[in-house]
Amino acid sequence: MRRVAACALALATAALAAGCSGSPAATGRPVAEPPPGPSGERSGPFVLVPGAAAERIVVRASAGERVRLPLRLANGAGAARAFALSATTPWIAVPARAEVPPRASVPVTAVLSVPAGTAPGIRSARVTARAGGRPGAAVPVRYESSVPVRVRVVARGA
Amino acid sequence: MRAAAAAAALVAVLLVPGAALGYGTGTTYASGSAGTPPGAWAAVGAAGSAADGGAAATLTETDAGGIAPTAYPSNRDFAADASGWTPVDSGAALCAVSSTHDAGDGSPPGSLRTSYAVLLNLLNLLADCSSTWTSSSFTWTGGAPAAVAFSMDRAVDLNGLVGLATASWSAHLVDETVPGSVVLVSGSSGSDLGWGTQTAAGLGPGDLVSGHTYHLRIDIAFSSLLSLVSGFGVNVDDVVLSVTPQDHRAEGELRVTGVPPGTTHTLEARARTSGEPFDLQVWNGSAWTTVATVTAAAPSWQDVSHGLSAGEWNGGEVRVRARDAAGGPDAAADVLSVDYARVVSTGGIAVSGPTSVALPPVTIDGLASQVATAPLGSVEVVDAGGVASGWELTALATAWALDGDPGEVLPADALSATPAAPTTPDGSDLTGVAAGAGGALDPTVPVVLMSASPGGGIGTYRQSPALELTVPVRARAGVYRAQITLSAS
Repeated sequence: MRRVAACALALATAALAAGCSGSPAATGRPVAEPPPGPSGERSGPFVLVPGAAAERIVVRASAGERVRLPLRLANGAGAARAFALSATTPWIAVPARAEVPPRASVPVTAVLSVPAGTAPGIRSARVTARAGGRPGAAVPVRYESSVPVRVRVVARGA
Repeated sequence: MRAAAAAAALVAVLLVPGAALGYGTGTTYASGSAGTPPGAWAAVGAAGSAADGGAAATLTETDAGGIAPTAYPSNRDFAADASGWTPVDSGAALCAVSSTHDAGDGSPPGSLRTSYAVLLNLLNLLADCSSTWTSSSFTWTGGAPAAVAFSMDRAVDLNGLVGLATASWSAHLVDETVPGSVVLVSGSSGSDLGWGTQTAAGLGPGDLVSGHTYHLRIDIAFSSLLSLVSGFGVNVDDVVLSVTPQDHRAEGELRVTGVPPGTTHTLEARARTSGEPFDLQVWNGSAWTTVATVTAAAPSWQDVSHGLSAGEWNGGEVRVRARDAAGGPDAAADVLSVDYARVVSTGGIAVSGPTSVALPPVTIDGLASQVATAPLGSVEVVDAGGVASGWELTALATAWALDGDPGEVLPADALSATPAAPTTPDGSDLTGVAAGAGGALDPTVPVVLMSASPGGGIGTYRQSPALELTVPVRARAGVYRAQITLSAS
């Protein structure tokens, strides 16, 4: 077995060992390694929920129809925050970003567009809000909250 | 085919069997009022809907009478002198009149005195003399007053004579801006009169115009059939014109009751004013805090949004108070209109925790794989007011990629998480809440770190799993990065 020259393998740090070959990241001066474990900074609680009293959104739509999906994004932290929004299907368009004041919630409107020619049936998707993840960290930890969406595609006029 | 530009229709959000108001969004509208006077509510029910065509609850200011009256002129009791008052005496060759400050007499001592003497009353003709006292000018700028009052003390000295001489007096409010005058009090006497108070009857707010300049004038006159008499006099004291400004105020509450617990509570209101600004305040259990000031006027509305703290949620009874924001005299009864006031509650499963984690470095010796371990840190799951349908805390992680060469990655199962026993910081019921099985974290298959079975998990729970990264013996040296994603649903 080829003996690999011993060198420090830095994980989740920016420290680089001098003298190690095959270290494409050996470009800069060494920096202080963070202590192992979690950072002191915490991501505050938040939740994305349907815009009515429900656990998920269930909608009936026909091919070619556009339907608004009311959602509400709640920020439980004591400071205003920005959240990234996405959907698991291109059928659903959501704003890319939403800002929410502290301890408050704001309406978020997603728009479902069922493609023309879609056959009847049930489709499932999720709309997700995402936050957290310390910028610049080697191992950021981010958080997600999502709302299930169930679409029953029906024949036009049904 | 329906055009893509067809109007979007509102979705019919169906209640999933078993779901309750605790999950999703709930809106609670104001349903009661309290706290007046000052001010008066009307149509409170109109604040309970945002879909009533703009019908609004109104809070109208009323006169609180809380501002003390202002007294004019500046020298009213003549305790020291007659400063501010100017006498004009109208005598004649055979009668004399003089006006001075009388330090020895008054109610209490210190008054204005007009004295009279007649030398000769020829042919039994009445000998008339008179005098006028004029005060300094003053200007009332406090708007239409709520009340105006006048009083004056007077005494008459006719040397004990009865019916042989007459003293007369009158006090006037003189408008210098729009020339004119009003008789405040008047009187006459043919004998001595001790100190007594006269008050103006029929004097009202309409007799004083804001912005006008006024002064007081007191006319004193004598007439007599006698000759060779002197020592007659009239004294006046405590001459007071009292003006009370209007003090329109309003302070009233709207109450939003039955607000369910949740992740967040947002107070939303739409309001406008007919004139002065109104502060909107929220009760936090011990004090009122101003969260907005309404300044919009018709036809515009002002939208207010405020995230309520736990104290402001107040156990489900949110108290919102409106107060007029201006101080000082206020002659206008302004109106605050509230189209609606409501609290939007959200309920769901929220997760929070550290924003990054670090693993210790390892040294590859070419003989065996190396392991780096570290705690992820405390991750908190809060199910606020849900229906105990259960939840899972799951984790994903991207592949560990080498800085500068993202194609160089560690094996897909390099990182694993071993959950610990769940804990609760606030005594939440741990029944049905358990650590997940854990396992290797990858980008697509969520690993359960903690879960609550149906019927449990309402409250706050914490999980601090241990992370373990196995670095294979053939790994290249350098800095490797990955991203961990946590979610609860």
